[in-house]
Amino acid sequence: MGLKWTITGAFLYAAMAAWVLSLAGHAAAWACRRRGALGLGKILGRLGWAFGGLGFAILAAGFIYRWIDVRHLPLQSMFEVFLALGMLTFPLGLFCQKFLRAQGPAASAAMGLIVLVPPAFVFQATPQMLPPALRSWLFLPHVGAYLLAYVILVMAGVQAMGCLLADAMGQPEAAIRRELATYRLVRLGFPLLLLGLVLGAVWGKLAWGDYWNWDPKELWSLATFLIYVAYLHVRGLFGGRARLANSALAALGVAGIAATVLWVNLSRFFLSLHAYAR
Amino acid sequence: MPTPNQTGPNAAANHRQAPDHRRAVWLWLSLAATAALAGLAIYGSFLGTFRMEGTASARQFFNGPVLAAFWIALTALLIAGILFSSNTLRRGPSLAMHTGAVLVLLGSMANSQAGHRLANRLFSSQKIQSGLMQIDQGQTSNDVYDGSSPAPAARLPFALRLNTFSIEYYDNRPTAAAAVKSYTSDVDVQADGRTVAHAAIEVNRPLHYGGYHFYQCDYDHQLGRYTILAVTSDSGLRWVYAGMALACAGAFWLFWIQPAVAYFRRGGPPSQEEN
Repeated sequence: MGLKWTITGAFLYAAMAAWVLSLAGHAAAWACRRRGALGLGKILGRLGWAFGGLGFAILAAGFIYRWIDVRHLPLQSMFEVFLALGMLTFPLGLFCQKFLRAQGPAASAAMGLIVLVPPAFVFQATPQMLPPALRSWLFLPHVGAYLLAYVILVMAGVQAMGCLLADAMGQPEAAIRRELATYRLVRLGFPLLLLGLVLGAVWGKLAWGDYWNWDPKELWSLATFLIYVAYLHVRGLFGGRARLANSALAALGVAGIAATVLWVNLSRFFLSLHAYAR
Repeated sequence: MPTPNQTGPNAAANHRQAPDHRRAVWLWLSLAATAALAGLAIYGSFLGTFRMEGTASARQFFNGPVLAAFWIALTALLIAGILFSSNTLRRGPSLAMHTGAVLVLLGSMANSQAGHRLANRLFSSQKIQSGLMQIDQGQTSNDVYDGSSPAPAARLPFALRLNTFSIEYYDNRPTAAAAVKSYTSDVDVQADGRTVAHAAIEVNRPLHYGGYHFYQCDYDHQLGRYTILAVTSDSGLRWVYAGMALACAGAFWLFWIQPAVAYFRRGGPPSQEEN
């Protein structure tokens, strides 16, 4: 644990402050709407959106600053990757709410805040030079596809957990709604997960001589990918009827993503070719 | 089985999809295969960690005889699914994804050690799957080593001449671990006594010639006089890439393009009830 007294750190903390206010605004708006104060609820909701947008703008500026500061695409260290993941929660949450009706604004703000906690207080932000293996045009597409997929699929997992919770609390209508939201989000995230895997294979072929190297990170991404393959088979063959199984698999997918991103990279336990992403 | 004389609102749906009990069989088969592969992947991720050999032991495990049977069974199941399961799977995007998976598996079999042994026996060829070459500056070699013995394991039908080997450093802000910017081996390919190709091999920029890829792998750390290149066969690689492209195309088609088309036809986001 430790605060970051750097310019990147200042961007990061300012964005987190904005998102705390955004979350508070959306929560207050929700409470007002429940009590029938629709006018005040609308104003507070807009305030929540404004702070959400402000936090995103600050993070985007911080990302660009970091890019100039380290002189390469800042997606190398865990610090940089989580900064980008946090930044993506806002536009992706907005997209999923507007076009898929599958994500609430408060959930996006809360997710963004949680994702920013490790880079803010845990991960080292020391800038590093790019090793030769990372100097490739596939750097942005491979990592970018995975980042987008992970944010979307974690959103799907949150909806799936909401579905399980609603069923446990005896609210089948809410459960059906959340199951459908889960499906729409997995549909959006799955092709990106596959693209990330395929681009990784192409890059592996170019940099390491083989498109598949049986590396722990590769194997965990494959296992995670297969959880969503299983989900799509159950959902495709039995639709919303298999609500419990669907939601359990989508929630399990989040565990797979967490293992791939955090455990494989951070533990000294795995000897991974992806070790430079520590 | 779908009954052709059935009427009512569900008739159309019944014509399109196989009945529940048949779908359940395919569901369990696909889930069993998926779960088995996921379980093997997770098991494999721990192999290198306990034996401290890195990924070599995992590679050995996934290329062993038991796993060979698994890969063949998985491929057979996918092909059987495409041929005999519901019509849904034979429709465009689904077909593309499953055919893509089959192509990746078949291509990988052709690219494996066992695949090379089989192909060499069938076509009485002498292609090697992978190995290492060490070439001194100004020297020419076609010897490929497998790392287990000091004698070359195979000889290529053409030779590589190392003109120069060079290392480029980041000039500003060098950090201890990552100060090297690039390693470059400048080589000529020689066959029948004349130069047929020329390349500067770098990390991320291999040379492709005569059915092999040549990678910058290692170098003489003391004097920088020789380079070490990794040699890998390209057998089956086109199938693997074609399969990956096909699977990606199918996934984006089914999960992105089709919902987007539905969105614009509808003129807005889906209702809470629609898929």
